[in-house]
Amino acid sequence: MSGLLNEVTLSYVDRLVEDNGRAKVLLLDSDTTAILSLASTQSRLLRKDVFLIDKIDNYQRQKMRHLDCTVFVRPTSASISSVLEELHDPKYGKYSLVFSNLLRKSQLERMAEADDYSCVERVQEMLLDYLKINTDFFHCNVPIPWASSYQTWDTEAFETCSESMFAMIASLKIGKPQLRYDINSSLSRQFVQKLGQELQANSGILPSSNKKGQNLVLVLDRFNDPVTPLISHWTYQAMVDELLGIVNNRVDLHLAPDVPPSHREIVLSQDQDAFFKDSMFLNFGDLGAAVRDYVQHYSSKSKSSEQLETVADIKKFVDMLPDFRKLQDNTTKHVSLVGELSRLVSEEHLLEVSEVEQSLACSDNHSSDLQSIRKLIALPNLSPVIKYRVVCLYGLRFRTNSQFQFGQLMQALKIQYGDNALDSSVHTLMKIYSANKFPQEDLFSQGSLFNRAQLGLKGLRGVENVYTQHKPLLESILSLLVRNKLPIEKYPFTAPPNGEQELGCVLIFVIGGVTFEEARVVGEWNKLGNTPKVILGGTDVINPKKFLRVIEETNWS
Amino acid sequence: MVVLDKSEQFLKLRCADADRKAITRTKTENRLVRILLGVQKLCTQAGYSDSGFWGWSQVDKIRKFEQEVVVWEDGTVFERCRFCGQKFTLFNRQHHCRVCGLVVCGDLERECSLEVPCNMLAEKLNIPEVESVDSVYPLRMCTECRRVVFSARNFERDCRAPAPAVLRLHQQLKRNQREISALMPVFEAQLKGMDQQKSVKQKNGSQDASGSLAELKRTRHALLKLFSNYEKITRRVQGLHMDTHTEQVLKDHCVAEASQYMERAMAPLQNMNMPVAMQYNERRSRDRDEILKLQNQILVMEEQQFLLENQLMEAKSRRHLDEVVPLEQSLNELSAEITRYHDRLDMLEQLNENI
Repeated sequence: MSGLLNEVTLSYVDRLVEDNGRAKVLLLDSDTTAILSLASTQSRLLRKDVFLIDKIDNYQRQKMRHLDCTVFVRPTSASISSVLEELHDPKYGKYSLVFSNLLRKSQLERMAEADDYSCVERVQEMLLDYLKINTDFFHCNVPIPWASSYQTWDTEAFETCSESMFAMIASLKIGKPQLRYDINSSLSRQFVQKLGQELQANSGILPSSNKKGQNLVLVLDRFNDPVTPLISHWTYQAMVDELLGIVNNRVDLHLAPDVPPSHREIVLSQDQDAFFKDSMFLNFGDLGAAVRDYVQHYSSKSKSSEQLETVADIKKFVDMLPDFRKLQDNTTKHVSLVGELSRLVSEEHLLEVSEVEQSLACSDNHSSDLQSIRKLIALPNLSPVIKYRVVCLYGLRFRTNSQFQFGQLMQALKIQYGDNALDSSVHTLMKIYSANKFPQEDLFSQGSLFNRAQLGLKGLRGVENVYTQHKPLLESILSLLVRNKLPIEKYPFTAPPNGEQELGCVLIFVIGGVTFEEARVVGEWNKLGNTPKVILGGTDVINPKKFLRVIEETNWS
Repeated sequence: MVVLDKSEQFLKLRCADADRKAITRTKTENRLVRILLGVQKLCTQAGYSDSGFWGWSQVDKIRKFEQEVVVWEDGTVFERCRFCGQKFTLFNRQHHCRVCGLVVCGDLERECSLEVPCNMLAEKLNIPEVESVDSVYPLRMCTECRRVVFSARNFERDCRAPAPAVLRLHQQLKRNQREISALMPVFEAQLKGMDQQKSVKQKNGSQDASGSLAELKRTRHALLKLFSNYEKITRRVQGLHMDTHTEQVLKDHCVAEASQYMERAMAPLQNMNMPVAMQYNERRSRDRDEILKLQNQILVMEEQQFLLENQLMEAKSRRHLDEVVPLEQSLNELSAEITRYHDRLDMLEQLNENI
């Protein structure tokens, strides 16, 4: 399935640089560097004669006044001052200024005043202010949304996220969508209120909806489902992120043994890599088979290139060489990556860990779970993050159990590792839940499983196995939502819904970070060609490691 | 997708500001001209125009004149330089800008103010009034006055200067590309027409297709010439010497895009079944036709050779050793083939001459 965000971001990229045949330099800030690297490739920019790309705040750039310059920055005060600095002493001949979101009038005035040499020829606001990971998955690059408690927004994060979401709503052409939030989360309520104001204030520039049916924005809170980011998932994209880390669709393999030097940094992008597009949601078992087939496909191709006898053969070889090389490159990439994953799975005892996690999340065996956790804690070479994670899950799961041994387990970890960041993260998380704001039965999947059974839905995924029993809360929310059965008491509207029942496009936003596992839920829903189209976003993309770190780094009062 | 154009609003705002700036610039410039002319006159009167040495009384005279044109700021009020914020001391002395009269420091590194010989200023100003100024007497100017008077001039001069070779060649490449993309559809249409004619011919048993065939060959020839020209320019870009890292990157990316363009644009040409369309017998021009054909084929093969060489270089630099062997092998075979074609061509050409 193409369309959705890929289509949107690509058309933005094509508009960004003028196709006038002149050599160009492109200046970016750190925000737009990430945005653009996810939305486009360098060869796409090369085609438009963008021969140099640099940071706008690099003041050492060489003066080349015969070049045209396109500036693409987020209208933050830092980037605007860099633009002013650049206009004060222009290094290039002509400028196009493009901003990733709406400019304030004062910003425009200051830039006009600074343009002493009249070198600016174009000024545009191009609402591309989010980081597109998959065609239906994005984030705002805001790691910490909270100020001092899980009920208050950090002011700057609040601005950034609402601007980002405004840009997203505008670029999706869904008119003025209805807004729903989570009744348990004051963050989500504040967010939809702000969003409603922004949409109202700028309704003049919102393109009208080109989709049939009612469009909807649903804002959720990470703390309503802390389980999903705490357990291991077994699908390709999610595993790579958890075990190796994906940053702007790039994976760093420098620490991995047995990886050829050419593949120490790789790109995993759905729209540039057909194999990844097909395999990103496969579970680890199926992935192995898919990679094997891929290698066979490659070796059959490479055999045919060995027989070069006539000029015609050579000609054919030359014609297909670029494709052949791409195939070879890609095969090496995925073989290296999957090899490294399976090495890490055994090194980190992930099968054992995952079994315990799934049992904690999906069944009710206090004593046997406790035993398995003690066994894991005793493993000398298991990483502390995993141990703390499992104990944290235990704490959340059996908080009300009379035999609750959380303190003991934490003590055991303290003896091993002393006072540390993970220890305080887990305690912080437990404190948030002991405030009893978030209902316990929703945290673990009996609740959601029960709901699914009620609906008679077989689940969005086919085969089940012991490592993939847990389903994110988002899966049940989505299945209710698309059937118009999501309870209004729990997820109220900001304005009373109009008569329209059919949903056209649904934009789900998770405050506090969203996981690749949840992206899979949405990705697979869209892959089936269903309506409504669903797009998922979050303040950031998180995995277990990152989730605990973010909890640690927030200044909880 | 939402793109909002703010250019018009921006230009309006810029216009509103432009008058004020123009007035400041004219005022500053006029003051500078007055001072230059005055200093020149005083120097000539004293006969010191290029000795580089001025007596105290002379300097005093010039200073008095300078203060007549521009009122100097009272230095006792200021403790710090207004540009860099540095405190004035025994070693970091106060100075006055001769053009605006402000108090600034004379730090040579920060260049808050600089002493520039009058003749250099006059030369940079490049207006008829100050043509005659040749005194080397130094005039102190602050950074803001220098910017107001000179940087717009520098900017315009830089923009008007001839473009560096790499950009000129890039423009040639682009022109070439436009010609190719204009000719390509013509060629494709002619080829299609030929195929249709051929089938008609087979039905009717008639003969005359030579006219359109000649046309087709001309177009093909023109196209191949464009491609070979394109490749030649690319090689010239590749051969350019670059001074800095940035220029090197610029050049590399220019070459990379050019060879990618070749790959993209040549693909449809290679897939067309030319030889079938080319086969026809007409005795008198047979040799000439073969020569043309050979020349065309050599051109195609040389282009492939170029592509192969590039790919080989890239494979080597990336250490894709398993690719290097088949590439080298095919390159050798291709070169041998080209030599064979050249030999045949030479032979035919000699024959033709003899006749």
